[in-house]
This record gives sequence, structure tokens and C-alpha cells, in this order.
Amino acid sequence: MTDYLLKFPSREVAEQFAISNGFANEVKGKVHSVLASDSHALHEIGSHNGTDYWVLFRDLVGIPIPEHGEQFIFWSSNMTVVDEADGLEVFLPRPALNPDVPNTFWS
Amino acid sequence: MSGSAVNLDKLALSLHFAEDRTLKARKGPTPLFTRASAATLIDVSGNIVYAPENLVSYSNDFTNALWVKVSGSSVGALVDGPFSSTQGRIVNLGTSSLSRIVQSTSANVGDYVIVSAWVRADVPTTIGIKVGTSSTVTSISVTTTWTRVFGTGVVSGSAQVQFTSNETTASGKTFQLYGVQYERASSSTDYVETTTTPYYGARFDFDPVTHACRGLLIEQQSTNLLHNSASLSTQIVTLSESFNYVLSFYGTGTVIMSGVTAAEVVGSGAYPTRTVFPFGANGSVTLTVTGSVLYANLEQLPSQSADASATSYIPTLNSSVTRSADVCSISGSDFSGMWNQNEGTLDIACSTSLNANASYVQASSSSGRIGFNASQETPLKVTAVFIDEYTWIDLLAADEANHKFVLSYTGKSTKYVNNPFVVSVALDGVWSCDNYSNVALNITDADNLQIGSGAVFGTRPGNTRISTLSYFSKSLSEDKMARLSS
Repeated sequence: MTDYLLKFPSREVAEQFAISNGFANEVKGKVHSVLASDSHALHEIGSHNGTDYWVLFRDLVGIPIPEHGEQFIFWSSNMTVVDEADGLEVFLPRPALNPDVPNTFWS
Repeated sequence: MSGSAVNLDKLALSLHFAEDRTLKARKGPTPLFTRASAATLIDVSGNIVYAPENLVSYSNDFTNALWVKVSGSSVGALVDGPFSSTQGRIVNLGTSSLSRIVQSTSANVGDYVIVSAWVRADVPTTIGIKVGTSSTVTSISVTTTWTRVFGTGVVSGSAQVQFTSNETTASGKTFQLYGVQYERASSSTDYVETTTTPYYGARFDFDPVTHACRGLLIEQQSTNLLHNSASLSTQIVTLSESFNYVLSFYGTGTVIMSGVTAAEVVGSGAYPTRTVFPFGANGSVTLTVTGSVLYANLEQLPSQSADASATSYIPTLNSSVTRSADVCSISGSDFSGMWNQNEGTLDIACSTSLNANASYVQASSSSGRIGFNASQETPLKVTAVFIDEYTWIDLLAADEANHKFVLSYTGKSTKYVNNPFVVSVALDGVWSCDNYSNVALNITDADNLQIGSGAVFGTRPGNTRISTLSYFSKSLSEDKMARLSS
């Protein structure tokens, strides 16, 4: 399982990215996100500061990152950093209590 | 004459969720269930508890990188396990007192946790189990016989399962480990092995007053915007006009809203009485709390939902928290092995909801669907839908009560001269109507049965409790439909 916190420059960009990768459908001009399936879940956090559009995404099965998707990944649970104390590589905790980052988590 | 009864009605699926409290079918395939995050339910004692879960991944693969080997610890060869060969794994703890094997979890500080695992050792020894980095340690005696052992505690520091040497001046220790489970519960449940993903189990919840099981709970995704929701205190929340909101809580306290909206919500009683207050707002709202306001949700409902009903309690601490939708279905060969494209009968007993997007059960393909859902009209009705969303039979006004629905379809009826396609419906003991369409039967390519949701997974959740669901691969008579629905 991999958690992603995605940051898009606008809602429209987020919707087009979701539609082109099968995570949303457009019916009669209205976009419907596929919030949950056997392989993923997503939550549209929405705007936080300015026009940025944030999305929580949980990959349950190892979905490949879509082409051009890397640019929207603000944080993922498989990001690692080197712990200065012991030099070991550790997973990067998700930013919390940061006013510039939405404070919404999966249960 | 002996032998099993003849299956004249061609029963192909029989699910008794409320009575059996399991997804396992009495007859036919067992549905596949997924929920991508934790959730709560009301248990048999009437308490709000977490659904069955195992919050560790790779619960029996200690070679995986998620199991961090600290200060000289390591894992060794596979060994005979408690139930069959090559299930267990040798774990070596180093000579440092800090030596341990650990995995972080998503539990919250303050959660009460039970860790369970099977352990044994060639030479008896003692180890420790911790549920958080700063939690107290449970001392475990490891014998030469595989034994399921338990470590309990309240999460302190960071949530993490730790198997430690439990000594201040440790010498190296070796033991064997199988099947770790990390769950927020008052007592341990059956072990569920995990691989890439933690286990978030289906919810069979109970009436808080009668303690009767209400069946399989299928809910929409929802976000609780409140912080420290177990016992609410005054706080400010920012709301958007893009969503509907509903405040819910137990207790006799009062929540006064001020800011872009003004309201006074007085608690109508202690648990299990729940106060529910739907509203809309766009901007900052101050919630001033006095008295006892417990297990509070302020739910931001999905933008495509018109529902203003409260869903199950979503615990929070210092952030907003989103519970993912419940997804339950039968597809692939499991579906094709039971479904008759030409005729059949669906039989469901469930509660309806006030969700305009609700779907309770439906078989579907990319070209059509057949089942029961909400009409998306005002006043909201429950309908039997077939072929497409424009072809339906109104059944009743949605009322959040329990009902029994039966739908029969056939493409070979002789009832109408010009069209062999007939759908008929029975509701709560009465065969109510039939209908036929002037368009050709086009659901002969159904390829899945969505249980408690429909159209697209997660987007039309029923917010329902399903007590039974059956499917017959035969169009049943009016009399039988009436009896099934009574």
C-alpha cells in the first residue's frame, strides 16, 4: 500500500489527470471521481492555499505512476530520507501541522 | 429416498449477513470486500469500536523492508510453523538492549491496542512486545511450543509494533515468529494475514439498543472535519459551499455555531441517542461547545452526494480524517458462474437511506444494469432499475427503514404480445407490479454484482445495512416473490 498526497495547480488539471487515468468519469459534462475500488481510494481535499487542488490517494495494489504523474506528487509514503543520527535510510513522515499543507489523513 | 433437496428455484447465491456475521455465502460465491481505511461500528454490547483490522502489512513476511531490524537484529530461515511447514521465521535479536524488529502502523496516540503473534523457541526465552515507541512493554515467555501470545497497551510516542529483547543488558536471543496482528480492540480477533495492505474488515454492526445484528454496513466515503472528536471542545472549522455538511454527536451538551452560519444545536440525549444537524456554509464557523458532546462528526460529504445523513463515527485527533467507502462485489468467474443473463430473481433485505445516489444491489455491465437504487428525485424514492437509469419502477419513498425487495427479470415472457422482456417487483410481502420496455433487452452482458453500491464503485454507496441477499437463476412466480419479500 502506498499513500500519496497530490498537489495539482488547479481543479481542472486534477480532473483531467483523473479522467485520463481512469480515476474519474465525465458524464453529461459533470466529472465524477471514482472514490473507491478494489485497488484504490481517493479523497478530494480541494483548495488549501490559493488555487492549488489537493488530493489524497491510496494505492492498494501497486498501481504504476501514470506518465507525467510524478510532478503532482507532493509526498508519498515510500519517500525516504537519510536519518542524520545513524545514517540509515528511513521513510519520510507526511508533513503534519504545516499551515501550507492540508491536514487531512485517512482513518 | 435420501439425498439433498432438489433446487427447483435454482438458488445460486445465498448471503445471510446479519445472521452469519460473515461475508461467506451459504451458497454461491463469497463476495470480495474492500475498504481502504479503518472504520468504526457498533458492537454486540452496544459500544462504538473499530471494525476488524490488522494494521501491519506483510504480517508473516518479516524479510520485508517494512519490518525494520534495529541494532543488530535479523531474520533467519523459514521453519515449521504452528499450522504447517515453512510458515514461521527465525528472528535473531542482537546483543544490544535496543535490538528489536519493528513496523510502524497507523494507530493513534492513546489508542488501546492488542498485538498478537505465534512464537516458539528451541531454547525457552523471554521477549517483549510494545504497541508504541514509548508504550509499556509486555513481557512474553517463549516456550518450545508454538503459542499465540498477546501484548497490550496504549499507544504512546509513535504507533509501532516492536518485538524486543526486553532486557536492559541483553544477550543475543533467538525465537521463531508467525502471524502478527495489530488491532484496536478490547480482545483479539481471528488472525488475518496481510501482504501489501493492512486489513480493514467488513462491518457487521449491531443496534445499540436491542443489540440485534443489523447486517453488512456499506457506507460512502466521508470526512470528519472536527479535531479531538471523542470529546469535543470549542474549535473553528473552515467549510466550503461545494459540499454538504452534517454535525452529529452523542450527549446532552450544546454546540453553538457562529461565523458564516449561526445555529444552536442542543444534544438530545446520552448515547445511544444521536443528535444530527445538517447544514450548509461557506467560510469559517466557530463551534462553541458546552457540556457533554461525545463521538462527534462534522462530515464533509462527497461533492456528488446529496445526502445529509450522518455516517458512522470517525475518530480524530489533531487532523481531519477521511474514511474510505465500503466496496463489495462479485465479479469475474464467480459472477458468470451464478448469473443467468436470460432470467433470474434478486432478493435483498436492507435498510434504505436518504442518499440520492444510493444503490443497494445491482448487476451491471457497461451497457446496462438491473437492481435497486434511489431515483435521485424529490421526494426521494427507492426504485427498481433495469436496462438503464431511465427505465425504472418506483417502489416507495426512501425512509431509512428496513425493507425486503424482490426483482424478477425474464426475456422469454409470453405475457405481453409484442415484448418478451418483463421485470416484476415485490415489496414487503406484496407483489406490486410488472413492467416491460419497448427497447430490446440489453443486459445480457452483465459482468458483476455490486452489493451496497452501484454504477461506479464508491460513487453510489447505499449507506445501507444489508441483512440478506439472494439470487435465483430463474424468474420466480408472483406468489414466490411475495413470499420471499415478506
